[in-house]
Amino acid sequence: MATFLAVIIGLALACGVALYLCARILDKSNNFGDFSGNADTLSTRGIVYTSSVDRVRKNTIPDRGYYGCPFQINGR
Amino acid sequence: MIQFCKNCGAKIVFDPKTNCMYCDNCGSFFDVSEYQIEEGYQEDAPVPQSQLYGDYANPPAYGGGQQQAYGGQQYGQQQAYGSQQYGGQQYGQQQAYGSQQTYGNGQQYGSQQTYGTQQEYAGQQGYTDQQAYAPLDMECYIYRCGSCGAEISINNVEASTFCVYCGNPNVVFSRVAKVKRPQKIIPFSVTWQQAEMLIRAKVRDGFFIPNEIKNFRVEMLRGIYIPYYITCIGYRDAMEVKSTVKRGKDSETIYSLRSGYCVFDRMTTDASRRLTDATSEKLEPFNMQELKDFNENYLTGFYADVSDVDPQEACVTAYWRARGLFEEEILKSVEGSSKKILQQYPEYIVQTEPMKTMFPAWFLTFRYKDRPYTILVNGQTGKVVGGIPWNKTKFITLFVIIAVLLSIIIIPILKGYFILEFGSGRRYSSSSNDSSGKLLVYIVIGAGLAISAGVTKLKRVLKSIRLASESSLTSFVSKRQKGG
Repeated sequence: MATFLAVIIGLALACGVALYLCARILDKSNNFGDFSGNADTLSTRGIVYTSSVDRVRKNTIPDRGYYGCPFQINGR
Repeated sequence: MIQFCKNCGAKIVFDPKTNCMYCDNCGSFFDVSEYQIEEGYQEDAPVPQSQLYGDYANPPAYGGGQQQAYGGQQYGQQQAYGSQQYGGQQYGQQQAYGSQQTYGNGQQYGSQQTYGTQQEYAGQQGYTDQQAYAPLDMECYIYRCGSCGAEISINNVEASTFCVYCGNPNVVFSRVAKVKRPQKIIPFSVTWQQAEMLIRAKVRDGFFIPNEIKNFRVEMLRGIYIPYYITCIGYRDAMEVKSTVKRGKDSETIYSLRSGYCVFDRMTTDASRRLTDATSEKLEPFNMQELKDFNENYLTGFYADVSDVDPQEACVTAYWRARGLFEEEILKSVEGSSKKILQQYPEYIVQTEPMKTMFPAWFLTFRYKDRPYTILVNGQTGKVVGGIPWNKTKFITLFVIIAVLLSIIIIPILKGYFILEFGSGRRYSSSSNDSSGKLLVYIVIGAGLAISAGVTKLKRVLKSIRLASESSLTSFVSKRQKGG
């Protein structure tokens, strides 16, 4: 029983790690230049948070004041 | 339009190495600004092929037909946009920004610059019939080479090309100058030789790249200016995010609120329908500090396309990209895992008209197993982009070797551990049973995670390889005329 379990689990782990390592090498070897951009590269100041609250009740409406926002939309 | 050397009269081209116009014949260099285009300069207009050879199979339609097609395209996009909007949770607020801010702007651009262009252009140039009567499916125009007078064919977005007869670089000046002239350009900094060297260096180091590809023969290496829009878009959003955090043995669901704004003042979107967004995004980033005022002389010696995407559509693309990036950053700022946005109020405003620009890229096409693949090099930074076919036999062999080696190590260790825990007639306590069970679970989870991460990476590479062999990308390069 111990041998059987060891073989099954050991093989699964070995195959998983081997697949991950090979895929990683393949990614480095055959795939060049991935870029999807980020807020810092496409903007000068990046994201400015105007409100950040953790652990609130479900369905709490987020604050839409955007204090200090340099542009206006719909008059605010 | 061809530029000629002031010293010897031979053709000159833009040299990325020196950032000057270069004469291959006498070795002279000239500053780009030395060659100014005369005011009021006019060239023969491109003539639709049907006008020359009589395309009776496709009877010409009036300008209205073209408008219809254009309108149809636009309608389709708006419909798609609409379904995305209304399908989600952000129905109300998107409707608000869409109607007031962006569509308003887009319509303005459209009326001034885009929608009316074909007709206006034709009218101003005095060849209304040739342009406005162009059949809907006509892609090919005949253009007269400024050097030898031969007729060369161009498609409806090419801004510069080479003459197939004399090999001289031709800038289809009238089109660039009058209709879709970009405001800015990033000139090529990477030369033909450097581009080839960069690709060879990447390919040489690749472990899974087949040897046939490592010694590739340059079948086609083309320097092409890709049209882009730079849009300044202000985006703000307020969200409620649900996430799961671990507290000791248990996990807890928490809700967080985030509000903020971002001015994406360098938002780039490609303005070519023939190139996929995924490919053009991969080519980024470009260094915007090196943007220069557009000058036709930068195009000489390269291929170039003008934009065939209208500014309104560019605004919508920029919005979706801004939203994606914003959400990504917000989710990063929230603790825990399994994050999900429950409610959000996205708003955006396009602050200035999208700026038409041209960015440089080298396209290398090679064949492997009768299938063409295209690798791109950023013409400014030298960044190599693309997916190369892999040697499957080598991959499987390495996989088996690693798996066998790991099995040889792992299986005896596990076997020994299980024998100690369960076997040998030892009377084991419930706590030892617990720890064995936990270890088993951890190992199984570890194996699952490794397999999942491996499959994700594999999928990413395969997607990249598929993108490199897409027919649209190949035809983007291969349909260029030989020359240069």
